[in-house]
Amino acid sequence: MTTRFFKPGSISDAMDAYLKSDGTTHYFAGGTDLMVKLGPPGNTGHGFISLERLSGLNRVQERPEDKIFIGAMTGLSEVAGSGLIAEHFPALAAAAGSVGSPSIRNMGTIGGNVCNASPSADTAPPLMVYGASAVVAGRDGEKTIPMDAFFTGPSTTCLKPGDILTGFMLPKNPAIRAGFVKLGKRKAMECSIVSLGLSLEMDGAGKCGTVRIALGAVAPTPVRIVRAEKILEGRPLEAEFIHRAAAAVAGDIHPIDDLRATAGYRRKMAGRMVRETLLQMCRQDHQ
Amino acid sequence: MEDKNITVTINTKRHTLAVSPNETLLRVIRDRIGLTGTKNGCGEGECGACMVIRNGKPVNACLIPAMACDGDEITTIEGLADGPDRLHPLQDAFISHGAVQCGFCTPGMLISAKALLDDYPNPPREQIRKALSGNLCRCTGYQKIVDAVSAAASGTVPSEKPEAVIGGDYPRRDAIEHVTGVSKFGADITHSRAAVGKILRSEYAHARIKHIDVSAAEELDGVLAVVTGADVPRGYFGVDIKDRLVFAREKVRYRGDEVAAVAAETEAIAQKALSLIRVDYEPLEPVFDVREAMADDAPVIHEQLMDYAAGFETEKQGNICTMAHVRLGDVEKGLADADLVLESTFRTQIQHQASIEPHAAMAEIDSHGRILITTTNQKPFAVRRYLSHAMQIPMINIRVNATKIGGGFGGKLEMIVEPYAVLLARKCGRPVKIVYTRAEEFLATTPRHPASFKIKSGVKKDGTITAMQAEFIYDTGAYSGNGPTTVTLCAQVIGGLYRIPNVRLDGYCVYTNKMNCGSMRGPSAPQTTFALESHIDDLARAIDMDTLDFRLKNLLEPGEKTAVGQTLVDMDFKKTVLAVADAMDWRAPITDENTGKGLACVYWLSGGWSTSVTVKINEDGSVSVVTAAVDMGTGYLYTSVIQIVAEALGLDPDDVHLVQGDTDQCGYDHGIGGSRGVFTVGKCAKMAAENALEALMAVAARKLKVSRERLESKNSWISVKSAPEKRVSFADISVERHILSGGPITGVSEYLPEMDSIEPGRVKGLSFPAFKGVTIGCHGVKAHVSSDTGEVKILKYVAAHDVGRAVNPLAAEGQIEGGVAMGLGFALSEELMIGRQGEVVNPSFRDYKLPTAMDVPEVESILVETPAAYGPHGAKGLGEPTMAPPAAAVGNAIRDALKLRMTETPMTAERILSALEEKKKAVPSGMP
Ligand SMILES: Cc1cc2nc3c(=O)[nH]c(=O)nc-3n(C[C@H](O)[C@H](O)[C@H](O)COP(=O)(O)OP(=O)(O)OC[C@H]3O[C@@H](n4cnc5c(N)ncnc54)[C@H](O)[C@@H]3O)c2cc1C
Ligand code: FES
Ligand code: FES
Repeated sequence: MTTRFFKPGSISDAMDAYLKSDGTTHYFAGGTDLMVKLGPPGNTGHGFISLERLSGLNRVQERPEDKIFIGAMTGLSEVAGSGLIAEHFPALAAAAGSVGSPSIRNMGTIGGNVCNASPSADTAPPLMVYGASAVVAGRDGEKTIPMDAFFTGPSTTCLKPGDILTGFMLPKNPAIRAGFVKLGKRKAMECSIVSLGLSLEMDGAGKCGTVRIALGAVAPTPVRIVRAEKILEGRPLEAEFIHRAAAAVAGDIHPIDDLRATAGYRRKMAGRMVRETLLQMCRQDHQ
Repeated sequence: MEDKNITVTINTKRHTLAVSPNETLLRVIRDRIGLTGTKNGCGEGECGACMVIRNGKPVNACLIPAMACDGDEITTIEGLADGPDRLHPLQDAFISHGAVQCGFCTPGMLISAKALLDDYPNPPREQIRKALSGNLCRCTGYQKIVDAVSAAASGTVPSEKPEAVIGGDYPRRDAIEHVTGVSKFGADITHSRAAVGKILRSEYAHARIKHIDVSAAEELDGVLAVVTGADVPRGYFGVDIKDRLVFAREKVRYRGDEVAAVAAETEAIAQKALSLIRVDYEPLEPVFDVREAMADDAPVIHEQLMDYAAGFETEKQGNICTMAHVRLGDVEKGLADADLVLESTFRTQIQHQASIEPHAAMAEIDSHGRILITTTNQKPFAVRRYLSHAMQIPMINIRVNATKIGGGFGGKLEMIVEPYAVLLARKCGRPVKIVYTRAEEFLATTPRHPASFKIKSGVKKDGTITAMQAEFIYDTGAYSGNGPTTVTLCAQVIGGLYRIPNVRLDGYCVYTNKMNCGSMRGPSAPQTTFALESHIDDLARAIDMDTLDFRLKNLLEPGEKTAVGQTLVDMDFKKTVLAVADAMDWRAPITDENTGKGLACVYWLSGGWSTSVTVKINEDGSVSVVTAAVDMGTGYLYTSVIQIVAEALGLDPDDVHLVQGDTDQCGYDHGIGGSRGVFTVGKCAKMAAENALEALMAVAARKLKVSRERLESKNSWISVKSAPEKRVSFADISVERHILSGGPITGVSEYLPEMDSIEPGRVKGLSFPAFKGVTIGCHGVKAHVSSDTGEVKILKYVAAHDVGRAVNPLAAEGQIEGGVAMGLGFALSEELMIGRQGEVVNPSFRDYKLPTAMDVPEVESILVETPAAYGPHGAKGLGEPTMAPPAAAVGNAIRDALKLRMTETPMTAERILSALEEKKKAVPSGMP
């Protein structure tokens, strides 16, 4: 173990430092999860490698092929306030803007939110429904992992030791409508009891094209609700199918009882949140 | 550890210092630079007390490793003003708008507000609430804070002084210390040689201690002292029943019971030392439920209950440490005479004071072995007494000095952290400071008693209540603490509102293996009000009577007696209730779906108990008020008491200064709580000031050669009424007394408000009869309740309190707004949860849900004034009753909106939804 707090200037230095440590060292983005879990370095023998000085990780950028790149180190406040994100991915902006409090959003990053891999990470469901991929720098070069495949369990991801998430690539799609809904006991400073990202694209013939529904805090990881999506795809956005889709949500989730809510409440609310979000979109169509 | 040099600019001053990896920015700011305006309320990013601006953005300094800050620019609260006389407009606005109560959250709030105004010069209220949503405030209900930010943004901060002294909106005198970050709270007290104290707590809810081995801890480098029960004489202490020792000896009775304590050079070493103490436990069967604890075969928590000394007479049995009974008339006959009998049950949760400031104390021992304990405590003299009892030290060898209190709410009424600091300091010969962590706050301090109620009443079709029978059980946890008093108060409150000829009340205070519950703001009032006012609402509905009309018909009138036989005077329920009904436009039907309205009333007492105040006229004619009473955060001393003294003497409130909270320098005071601040301490201060005035007048009469009756006092001058040019100043009189004839002029007063008389034949087992100064209120709520999600949305909130006389209306409103916020927390979101093994499941601000600025509605406060003969200028107590009605008022609005009666607090969305589903199951659709 070399140092307890290290601020490398390049990705390869960061990885070297990580791999030299014996698994007690953590990449440090905004620290809002790490500092609560572990405290400052030294308390339990751990160390931090700050990603702050790595270039290119803190920006929101247009990329070729109608894509937008959001750097992992982009602060949640910036994600919530970015004009580009508001225009193309409003549900993601809403999710980022719902995390904790203004100061937590000033410190916390979108990369940290995802890498921390809490089942209730608020930015995860919208990233999933916008078809985002995680861009990861590893020992053997860069790889791209679809968000649907990123989480492997509570607090675990498919990142290999030393891998650094550099950001997210999101396809722009003007035909998509999306929403984010968060259920909690308070209006701020709240871990989601259930969170929902939902995106919908109509096929031109008045039927639902691609539908993506993702839920947080109802399973060991944020999850896609494929059964409900399939009920809607190819069907008109009408109350009958909306109710059927909402009823199918319960089948794809595995909520638990914890101090924030019971599994039963989560299951009920997940279905209702999906239903209400779709009904609202349906009402918009008929206005 | 590998230290590293960093350079940080703090408030434009560059500092280069070696920091170690385990230091946070908050530590560096507070402990290394010495800027203690930035506070630590949780260390977990959840409270915002540590807010600073880092490179232009507000951040939580507790979550930032110091090493990450090399090259950063930091602004703390101390850097907000341009200079001592040039406050930031936000600071001025916080002072003048009453946005500062205890002041502990104030620095963090101001930092967040400044960052907001830097980006948005004129934000709407909703945006202000959002910007402050990471800053918890337990005192204000946020409304006056939002007012202040709005006013600062729009440049409308008033600067004139109020015209009248009594009834004037004087800002808290010490507000300037709070807005600039210089005030010293418990954890801000430092000493260069101070060691860090930490407490080892029981891991079992109920177990026998077989053996404690501290040798490994004692041998650890950097450990200065380890103490256990073996180091303390077996001195029992307690409020009503002496059932507690400083350390658990033979037995632990809850998970959190103190077993040992360590003093060490650093916190990390102290923590490590705790882990080296070996305690051999023999687990015993625990009991957590009061009904189980009352059963004959329940595990006994206090085997020696019958031998404990108690300050009042009561029956005890098994785990029941108090039984309180009230009997009036013939309940059976009353119920038989009724057209309808209704029975209800209710339950309330453990609510925690959750002051943002944690408990903290520093103990120092002088060369004579005399103890100085500096502590954030509401009752300095009681701490002295308890310490003396518990440690069997003469009282004169103990000096207790109170710091500023960052919110008390009854959580700092008892001796909590003090004895451990004292024992450690005595053993290691160095000052020892103990500051509780947020988790310890939730595990091992004295929250509100959970209670359960069974109420049965009879009513006639015309709305006459014929009888009421109630059983209430208070879960006091491992020790009796304030439980007996809480049960006594419950008996007074439940019989204090309505005219009921036949009453039978049976109250029980029961031990369980949980933390010791204590006195939280209005002990028993929110619990009882929730149960009683929900039940009363249902009685009205059962006979199809409007709930307002039912209350107007049955609420006690002045001159009538409560169930314990107290005659009500100087209050007016009708006026108070009608003020709310008016503001709510009660008679207008509500047509919106799932929307309802509810009312709830409260009866409460203005606390008495003994106090003393000395008013000293200083050489320059200014005045010092010397009192051991402290200000637990409401500001009553710094507003109303100062105003009362100024009025009595005829001088500007700015010339009145306070000396307070020191058992060496001040006369006795019982301790602050029970809404006795203005009512009792204020009254005593008035009497002392009047005595001082008479002493001044005697000199003036001699000097001016006129009789006393012809003199008056104004603006620090005494003049002849008929010839105002003939006058002499306080300063002249005082300087002469100081220099020529010896001694300052002082006015001294002791005061013990009489207990109110009750009918002794009606009660048994109560720990005290009743106080004078009944203080009442009524709240009204309009709310929407989603039948889909169970979420409650408050659309309108009105709160009227009969304050007797609002000595300081701004401060009175602050009490109401803050009380409503706390009451809504009790109603909707707050609950300390106990797991199967007796562990606290949610010991953090993350999961103990204090309402944030975005959760609390705007409150319309109405001050009703029916002067109380006993209070100073007619004032009554106000701090506590403000938080009692919200749960019942909201519950009644839910009942109105959804025909659903909630019987358990908090009424979370989940609970409402499941109750709604239960009800649907029970009543097939189509039925009413
Ligand atoms: C008071 C409070 C309230 C909160 N409220 C919410 C909320 O409402 N919703 C919510 O979702 N979360 C909430 N959080 C959690 C937290 O703030 C967010 O998850 C935040 O986005 C984490 O980001 P960070 O940059 O601070 O992560 P860090 O703490 O720095 O890191 C988190 C984890 O991710 C790893 N990591 C970070 N960046 C990378 C990278 N680029 N590559 C590889 N690994 C990386 C770290 O090693 C660590 O394991 C809250 C936290 C607090 C303290
Ligand atoms: S002390 Fe930092 S947020 Fe509470
Ligand atoms: S004034 Fe806000 S916590 Fe006391």
